[in-house]
Amino acid sequence: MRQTLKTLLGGLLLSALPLCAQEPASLDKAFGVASQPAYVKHYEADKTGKVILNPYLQVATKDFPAILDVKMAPYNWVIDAQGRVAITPEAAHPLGRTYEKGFFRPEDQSERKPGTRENFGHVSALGGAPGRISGEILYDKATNAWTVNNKSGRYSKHNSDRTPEQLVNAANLIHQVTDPGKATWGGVFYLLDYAPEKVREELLKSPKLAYDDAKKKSRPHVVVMDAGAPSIKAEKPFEMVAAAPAAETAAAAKPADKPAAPADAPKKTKKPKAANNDDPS
Amino acid sequence: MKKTLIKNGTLALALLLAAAVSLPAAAQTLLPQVSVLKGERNFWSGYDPVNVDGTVNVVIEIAAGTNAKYMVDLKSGMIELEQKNGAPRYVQYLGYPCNYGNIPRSVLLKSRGGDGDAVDALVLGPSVPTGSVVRGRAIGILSLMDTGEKDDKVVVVMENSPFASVRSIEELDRKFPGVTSILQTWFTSYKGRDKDGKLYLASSGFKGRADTIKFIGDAVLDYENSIVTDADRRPLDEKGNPYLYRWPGAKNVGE
Repeated sequence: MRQTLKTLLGGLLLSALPLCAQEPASLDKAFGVASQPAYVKHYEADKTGKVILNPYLQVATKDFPAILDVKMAPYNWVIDAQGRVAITPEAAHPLGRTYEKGFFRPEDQSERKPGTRENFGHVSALGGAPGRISGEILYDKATNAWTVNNKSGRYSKHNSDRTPEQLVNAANLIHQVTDPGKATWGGVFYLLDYAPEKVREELLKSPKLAYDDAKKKSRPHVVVMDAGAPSIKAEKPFEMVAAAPAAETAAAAKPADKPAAPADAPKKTKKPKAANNDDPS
Repeated sequence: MKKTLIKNGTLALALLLAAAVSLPAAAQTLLPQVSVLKGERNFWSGYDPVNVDGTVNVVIEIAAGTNAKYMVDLKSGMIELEQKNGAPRYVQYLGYPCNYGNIPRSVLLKSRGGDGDAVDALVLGPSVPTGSVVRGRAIGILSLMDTGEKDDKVVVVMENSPFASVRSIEELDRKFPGVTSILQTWFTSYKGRDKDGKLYLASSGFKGRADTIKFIGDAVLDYENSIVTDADRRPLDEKGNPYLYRWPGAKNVGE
C-alpha cells in the first residue's frame, strides 16, 4: 500500500515537472534566451571586477511599476532572466572619461566622436548578469511620446534569437509596468543593425523598411508597433491634509508635488528617430 | 522578516553602562547602552546603495521607538551616539516613529544645497536594531527645512514588512491611515520651537517617486564622483584609447 502511494506521488510529481519547467522556456520564447553580455567596457567594472549598478535603476513589475521622467531621458531597458524589466537612464559613469579628441573603441572597432562621454550601459542595469532582449526608451519631444527600440550592443546584438516578435512582447510588457509620466507611448522600432543576420536579410526586403535618413540609408528599421499604447499610472497625486504643527509653516498646506502643467502641444509633427545615436553600446 | 537583509554590527567598545539594565525604565531611556558601534564593514562606504532588484539598502542608525541619537560618523564609518555640548544626545520627544538611517555610499553635497551627509531614510517596518542593514523600496520624500537648511528624508518601505507592498505616498496614506501625518508631525515637532514660538523644522509635504529616484541616484553618483581618482580608472594605451577589457562573465566580443 505504502509502495503504491509512493509510486502514485512520484508519478504526480513527475507529471508536474514539465509545468514547472515551462516558465523559463516561455520567457525564452517571449524575450529570447538570457545570454551573457557581449562585452563589459573597461570602466564599467571596478578594480575588484564588480560591475557597478546604475544608481537610478528601477526594476519594473506590475506590483512596483517604474516611472519615466523626461528630464532623465534617454533610458536603457533590459529584460532580465526572471522576465522583469530593468530600466536605467543614461548617466556619466564615475569611472568613465570624456574623450575630447574622440577615441578608438576596441569592442566594436569603432572610432568615437570627439567629446564622447563614457556612460552607464545596459550591463549596469543587471550588474553584468545574463539578460534577454534589450534596447532604449527615447523621449520624442515633438510628439511628447516615448519610443522603444532594440538598440543594445550587449544583449540584443550578437545574439541569434532576438526577433521583432520579442521586441513587441517586451514593448507590451514595458507599457504594462512603466508609467510614462507626463508623456504618452510612441511607436516601437526594430533596428536592423541589432538584428540577427537572417532576420535582417528578410526585413531588408520588407515593404515596411524605413530609415531615419532615406538618402543616407541610416538606421534601417521597421515599426513593429504603432504609437498609442494605453498608459498606466504608478502613483496617484498625494495632497497632505495639513497636520496642526505643519500648518504653522507657510508652505505646509501645499503638496510638494504640484499637478503637472499640461505639456506644450507639438508645433509641428516630426518623425521620431529610431535610435538616439549610432553608438552601439 | 526572514528574507530581510539584516546585518548586525559588532560592538566595538565595551558596554559603557552595563548596569543600566538594573536601572528603572525611566532612567534607561536617558542612558545609552553603547556609545560606538563598529560594524563588520564601514557603515558609510561598505555597503551598496542599490540592489539589482531595484531595492535600496539602508543602514539603521536609530531603531523605531527609541530616543538615542545615533548616527554614522562619516570619518570613522562607525555608528556613534551624537554628542552635544559634551553630552550624549537624546531626542527630548516621543521615540522615533520609524526606523531612521541612511543610504550608504551617498552624499548630499553642500554645493548642491545639501547638508554634506548621506541621504537620510525613514524606514517603515518593524523596529530593527541600530547597525542593521535593511532592504526596501523608496516611495517618496518627506520635504523638510531645518532652520533654513534643506533636510529631506527618503521614505522607504522595508522588505517583508506589512508596508512592503506600498508603492507610493498616496497608497501609504490610504492603506495605513495617519502614517504620513505622524511622520510629518513628528519630524517637524521633535526639535521644539524657537524663541518666537515657531517650530525649528518646517515641511512642505511629500514628493513622489520620480523625484525620489533622482534624489537618491544623484546623491550616489556624487558620492562615487567624490571618491574616484584617476588611479581608480583603468589605464589607456599610448594613443589615449581604452584597452579591451576581459570580463569573465561576458562573451568578450572584440577579442
